[in-house]
Amino acid sequence: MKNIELRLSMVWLTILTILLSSCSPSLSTETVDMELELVGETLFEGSNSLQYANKNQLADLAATIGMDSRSLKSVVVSKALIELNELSRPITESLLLQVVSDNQELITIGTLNPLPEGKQFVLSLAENTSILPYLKDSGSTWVLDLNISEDYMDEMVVNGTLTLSIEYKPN
Amino acid sequence: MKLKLFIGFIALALLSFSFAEKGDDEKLIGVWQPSDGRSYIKIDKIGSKFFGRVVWMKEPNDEKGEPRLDINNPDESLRSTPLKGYRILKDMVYNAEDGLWEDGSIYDPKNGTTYNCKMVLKADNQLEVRGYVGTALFGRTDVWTRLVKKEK
Repeated sequence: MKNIELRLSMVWLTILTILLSSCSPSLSTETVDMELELVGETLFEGSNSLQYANKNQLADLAATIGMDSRSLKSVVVSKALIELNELSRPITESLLLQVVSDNQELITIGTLNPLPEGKQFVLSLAENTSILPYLKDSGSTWVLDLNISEDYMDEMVVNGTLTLSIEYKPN
Repeated sequence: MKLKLFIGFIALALLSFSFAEKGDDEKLIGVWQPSDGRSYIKIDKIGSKFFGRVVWMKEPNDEKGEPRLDINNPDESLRSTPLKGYRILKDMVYNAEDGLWEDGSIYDPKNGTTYNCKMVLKADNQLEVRGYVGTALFGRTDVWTRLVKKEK
């Protein structure tokens, strides 16, 4: 008898769980652009790095879509666009965009080699471009490695635009 | 008066200790040559961690005269990345207590494998680099030499 009661209560518990989970709102998706300003100076011919440090990133990103940062479930880079100017373009041979934070290891977001004609370049994205753990850290650093064909003794500024696909739980 | 002197002494000691700590971790920064002599690796600091990238290669081009690429990368979408400039050493964190850099990884472009890595300075210009899978007990150690300017 006790066994039957126990089984019945388990069945009720399962039904209740299914009902509760089906009533909770499903995830929504939104696309947001994130601007990067990557800077480096006194660059010598060969491989060089430009960097962009970002702080309070998760709260800012969540605010952009009018949500609380806890409601963000996934943030994936779906497109990475790098724009060179008339000074940096002629000497730049390849691009490699990466991100790192204090508690997360450096990962590659995208790469492009060789560069086609023009000043705007869409990078070939890596398999894993999920950056939520990096945004959760207090700060992250975006690193653009580029090979240049001659010395560049001034400050080089390269602008980038990341298209982020955000999955979140609506309030 | 004695108390002021004592506080001053403690503050000075703490200050000099903090300078020493900062200097120690940054001894890794520089350009290093692995024992095979086929490349130079430049180590620098991003945030609180250390990274190393290939800045010179003895044979930068392949048999066709094209720049060598990361053709063995397990992620196919990244195989067009040139090896010159590639960041093969990643996320090394300084352990001040043991005087070594650890918790990072080193990538071998010859086989596309990433190994755990730890590094110890054996002398000012000699760096012991150990790559391993799982436990540091089993792995391979290489000694890198720092490139220093020749004195005139």
